[in-house]
Amino acid sequence: MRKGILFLLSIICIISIWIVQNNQQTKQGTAAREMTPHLTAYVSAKEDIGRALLSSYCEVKKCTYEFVRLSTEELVRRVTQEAEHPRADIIIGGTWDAHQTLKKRGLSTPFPATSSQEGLQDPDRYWIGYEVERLAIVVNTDLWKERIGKNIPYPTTLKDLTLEVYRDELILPDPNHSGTGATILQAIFDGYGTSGDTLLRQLIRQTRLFTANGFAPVSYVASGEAMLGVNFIGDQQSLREKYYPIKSIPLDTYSINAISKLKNRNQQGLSNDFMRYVLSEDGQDILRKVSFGTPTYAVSQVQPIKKSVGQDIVSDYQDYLRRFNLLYDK
Amino acid sequence: MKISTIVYLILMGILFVLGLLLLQQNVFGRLHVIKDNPDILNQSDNSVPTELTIRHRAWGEQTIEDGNEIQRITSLLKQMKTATNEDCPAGMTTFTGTLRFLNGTSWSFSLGEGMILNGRCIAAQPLSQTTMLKARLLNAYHNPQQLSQQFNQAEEVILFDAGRSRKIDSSLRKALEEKIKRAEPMTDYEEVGRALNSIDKPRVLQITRYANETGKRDNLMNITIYDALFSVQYMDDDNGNTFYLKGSLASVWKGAKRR
Repeated sequence: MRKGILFLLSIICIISIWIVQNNQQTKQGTAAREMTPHLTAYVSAKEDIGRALLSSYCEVKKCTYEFVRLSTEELVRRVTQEAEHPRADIIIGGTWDAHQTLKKRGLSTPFPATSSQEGLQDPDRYWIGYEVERLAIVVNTDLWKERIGKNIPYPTTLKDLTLEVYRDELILPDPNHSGTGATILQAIFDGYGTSGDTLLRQLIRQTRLFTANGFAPVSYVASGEAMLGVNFIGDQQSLREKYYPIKSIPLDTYSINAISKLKNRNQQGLSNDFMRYVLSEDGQDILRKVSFGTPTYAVSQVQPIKKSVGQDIVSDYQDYLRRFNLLYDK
Repeated sequence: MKISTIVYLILMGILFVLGLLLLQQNVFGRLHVIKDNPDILNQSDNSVPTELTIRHRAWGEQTIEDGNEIQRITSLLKQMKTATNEDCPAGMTTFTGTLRFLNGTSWSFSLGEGMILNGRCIAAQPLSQTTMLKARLLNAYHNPQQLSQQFNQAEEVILFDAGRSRKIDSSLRKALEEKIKRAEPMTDYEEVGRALNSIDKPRVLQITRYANETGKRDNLMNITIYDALFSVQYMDDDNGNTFYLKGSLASVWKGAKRR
């Protein structure tokens, strides 16, 4: 009888060991599937730029990816909110002041030194610039002829846009949401010094609509819904090539679009490799086709940006934004 | 103590440990289904969204059936629902939509430069969320069938070729529409890159839905024609997104030359 019980117990033991073992193997199988590298990105550039870079990279590296497109300021807000549990590995696009904010708030982590990068970047490598964009006034030439006159010269400075005749003809990006809007604020306060507040008040009065996105002003102007706008010249070029009646008047303000890598994520190696890809010949070739900015390697002579890279522009910017909101509410 | 008793105790011990292990492996960390459907269904906000019907002022009606996409849009709307009451400026509405839930309730919204949700103004001017929502809604139109229908309904199509522009005639328009209908979406950017390089100054079609409405972004769309693919851009997409379709619209002109 006792032998029979022992035998039964032995059988139960063997079955139990087999079940546990089997369970372990299932777990290992799941773990193996989870080993496929996966890159999660927040994209503040145009959606097709993010998709083009991620899909072409992951095709070569056999990884999977997902991304969410956000305006620059929304992106900074979200990454800050998710500080404890970041949900993205990498930030693609957005103006460098936003990346500098992420650095200052301790949300990003530096890229390793890479000999191939000679363009514009954070001295501590918390963000790497991949293209440079220049602000410009955009004019709908058909509307200009109709409403202002064929032989009247176009505005060439932000100050020129404050003429009473342009009232409600102007579309600007909202600096509360858009990195392009933030760059315009910098152009106003850095370029006009003590008269910056007066100029900003006049520009707010002239503006018919503040858009949440940096691209939108040129689409309003190109379609004839507005006569004047300000945003990056690359966005304007993309619609000029589609034969819309627009003219760009470049301003002396530049910005860098950059990539950052977020802290406390487990795909640091993959993110570093992705950054190297974006700066490689293949990556820059893709950017040249889908974006209208100028690759950083081609514009290393842009002194105004090089001089300010590394300076504490974040606290300046917070002050600029506070002044904008104060004047806007009035 | 007899050896057989010791062996028996050891075996019982092993069995107990294995039992605990089994319990740990099979019960903890597992998905458990809690049957609380009736409670959930009674709460409109937490009910499952089942269908989203949208209507673009120029580009027509579309039903979004992809469950994940409906869920993403619902999340966005729920975030916006909590916004404070504002005064929406009177202006043209680009999108209207109805989101239906499993429990029979529905939400309605209209989106222009501001946004009204369930009769309440939740954005008086463009916000990040309204821009994101508009881009998501426009995504629903990114398919060849929709595009060929829009192309068919457009009141004016102007071709820009080598710097010169002209309205296209009905036979060319019919041929292009057929090609658009048979196009396929593409995401292979290696191929896109090669195609973009293939032509220096591609032909562009500027499509206007209502010919008597000039100066309206949501009335305009562009198609840029490369050798093996074409790109489409809705002018009221605030992000300036472009989507690519595989199909040779350019072959329409090659065919015409041969004839």
